[in-house]
Amino acid sequence: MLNDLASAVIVIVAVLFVLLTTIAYLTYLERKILGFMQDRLGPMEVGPWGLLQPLADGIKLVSKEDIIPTEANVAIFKIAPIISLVPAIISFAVIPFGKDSFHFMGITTHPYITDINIGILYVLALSSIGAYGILLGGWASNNKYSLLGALRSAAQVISYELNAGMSVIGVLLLAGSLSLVRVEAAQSGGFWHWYIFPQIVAFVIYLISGIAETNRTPFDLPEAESELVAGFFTEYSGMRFSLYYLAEYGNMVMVSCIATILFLGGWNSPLPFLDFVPPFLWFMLKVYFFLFFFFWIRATLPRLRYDQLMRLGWKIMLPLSFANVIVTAIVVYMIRR
Amino acid sequence: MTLKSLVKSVLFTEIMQGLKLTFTHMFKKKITVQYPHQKLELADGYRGFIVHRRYENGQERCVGCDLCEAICPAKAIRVVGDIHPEFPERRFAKEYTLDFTRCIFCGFCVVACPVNALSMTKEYAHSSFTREGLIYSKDQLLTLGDKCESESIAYLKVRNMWGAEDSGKDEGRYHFPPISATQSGG
Repeated sequence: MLNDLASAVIVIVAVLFVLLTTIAYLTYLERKILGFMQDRLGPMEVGPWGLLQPLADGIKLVSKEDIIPTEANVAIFKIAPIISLVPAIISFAVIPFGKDSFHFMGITTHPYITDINIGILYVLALSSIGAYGILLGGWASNNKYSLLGALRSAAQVISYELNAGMSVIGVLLLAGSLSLVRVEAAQSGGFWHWYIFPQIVAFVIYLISGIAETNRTPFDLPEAESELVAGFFTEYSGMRFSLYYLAEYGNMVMVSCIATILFLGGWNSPLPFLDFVPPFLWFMLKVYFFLFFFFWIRATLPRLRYDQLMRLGWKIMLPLSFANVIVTAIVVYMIRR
Repeated sequence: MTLKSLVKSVLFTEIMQGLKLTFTHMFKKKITVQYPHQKLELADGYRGFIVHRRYENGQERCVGCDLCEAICPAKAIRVVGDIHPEFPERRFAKEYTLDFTRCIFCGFCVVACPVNALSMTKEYAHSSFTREGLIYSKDQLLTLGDKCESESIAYLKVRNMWGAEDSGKDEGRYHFPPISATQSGG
């Protein structure tokens, strides 16, 4: 009992530490990668090659004045960033980062916080709760830009969550389980077992929906700088602003993790003779590839217009994902029989 | 929608092209200049801070003729001319103030100056916490001119205000020899 508790605490601390460090350095990486793609250098002043920039940003945001607009609904204004951030972080509870259990100070522990049998459903549910944070924050600010941003965000998240959910079903049919640990285990034994190949349509749909769900360019209409100042967090500053930021990057890491687990085999190595590399490193490599892809897309594509966004979501991707589910279901049924 | 455009949009050809472009730019040479650590070479004709110049024997050149004040479009210059106390045939600037908060660095005063007493330098990073700190007196302008002598000469040369090419002399449009030279000559 005590051993279980200790192992859980160790994993939770490790996951939180890795996650929050990753999020902090993602801001640095994003600025660097965007800069390099635009022939600039990015942050260079704080520390060698600007490596201490996230620290400086953190100090700045924490020490800033806390401003609450007079007309705002104070209680909701204060709680909205927390509603946004907490689901983004606690959904990491079901992500399996590695293969084998490991020993730490005499306690055996496994590379995931918990393995619940509805893993992916839990993640999807929490990402829906995160949308409330955006919606409430935008409404409580009592600012037209915030409200418009929040409305756009709500519409966008609802339409694209549907697609993400539908595209995931194909993989779940193949794996026969909702548990992320089992989905990963089902893809072991070389890259030809990965679900990206039978589920390429679902993969593309999931990736596009994932970018849209995290409000990233080219789907960053809720925070379109040129029209809405900063969208739903226009009125936020200091610590609360950074909570929204953490939530956005946390969601990005989450989407990358899910894409890695469902389509790129999670911690599985691509070729059997590469098994000597620790599974954790494979997992990180794939996740960072997706995170790089997020920034890459941001440097490349301009923002969509609102009607284009809705057309893409409802008229193209939703029918495609339905077709994918039906075809996958029929094929799996035929093979299993 | 034709078949060709359908295939194009299904395979994301155009997005792939864009992704390829941004990816190749990651490895290109960066054009950023890390300014305080790394500065660009300025051209000789660069219009930086205006300075007063001296003759080789240390005599100030300004004759207090007010032409720079007259031509200044921003009204940044104020000249009070007076008769030289020692040499009654000479005039000089008793007071000369140049307000760099008004100056637009157009270089007209340098062109107007008949004796090449004014020139421009590559100094640009002068700043001050007060407005008064940027209103320069004649002494300050002369000190700055002594510091940036080679730059002010290069400016006059590249702007064709250095006298005849072959003479190699700094004459200005009107030749006023320095006072000591007049004394020895006369």
